Amino acid sequence: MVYRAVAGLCLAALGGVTGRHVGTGWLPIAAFAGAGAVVALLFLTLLGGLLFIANGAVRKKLGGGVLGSAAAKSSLLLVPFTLLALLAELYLGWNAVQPFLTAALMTAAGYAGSEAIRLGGGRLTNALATALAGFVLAGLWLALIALGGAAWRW
Amino acid sequence: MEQVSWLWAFGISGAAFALFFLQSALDLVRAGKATQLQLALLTSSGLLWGTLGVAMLGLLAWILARPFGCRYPLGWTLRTFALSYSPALVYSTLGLLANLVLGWNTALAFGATGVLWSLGATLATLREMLGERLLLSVIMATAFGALTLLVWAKLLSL
Repeated sequence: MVYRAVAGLCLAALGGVTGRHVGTGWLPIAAFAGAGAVVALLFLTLLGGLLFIANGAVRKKLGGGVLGSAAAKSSLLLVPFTLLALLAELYLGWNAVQPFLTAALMTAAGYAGSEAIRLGGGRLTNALATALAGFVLAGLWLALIALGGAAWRW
Repeated sequence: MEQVSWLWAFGISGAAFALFFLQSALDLVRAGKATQLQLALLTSSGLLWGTLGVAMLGLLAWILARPFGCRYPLGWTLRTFALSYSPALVYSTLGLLANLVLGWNTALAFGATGVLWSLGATLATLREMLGERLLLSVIMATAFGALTLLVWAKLLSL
């Protein structure tokens, strides 16, 4: 639960910062912060699900819970990128949230994969599974930004 | 890691930051906000940060990790820290090509992105040194990443 909250807060923060660039006022900030929280839950669910599917041997030996735990713990890897993005945005005045967000998702997913490998899972399957999770959610986020921006202008 | 030469390890991190800072300078020159001299100085600063700066971060990480049972020698730590910027070198090289051939402003899209991707490798190194203490690794990686960004921003503003 704590890890889900961490992921939700991180991506909500990144979402809120993204909203600042989409439109004026609090509405786009709040909307994108909410979208970020939803993306966080989707990310953890997709990552946990892919790890579950890709690690049958680990599931049989240690139970599926350890894979869910690996996915959940990956939330902590979102924290440095979130804080650095906030530093860049709010202190340095950059408009550069997207590289931070994509790097955050891919790094967090990579950590979950490395944990699954440490538990006895296959290297290639976990590398592919976690890369897929990070890639899909990063793509989803970019699509949301594009749609949100278009909706705001319309 | 002991078989990786110092020159190779710090050559990678030095080149990564030199190319990163070079792109920043090229973007500024293109915008008329920097001279050729400033371009040379910024690129040199990148090389310095990529070598001495990264070594300093590695030394700091090693000192901070010792109380937590880190048994890796200093040489291992420094070389691993330097090599963790391999993604940054890849991104910086691609960014420089895009900058020179296509005329894009690439410092943020390629340079900073490469440094961010390197944060993952740095995190992995810190986890190894700190005995898988994830929270502590996250705190240290955040501090090192912030320092790198602030140094880059400060040098750009000079």
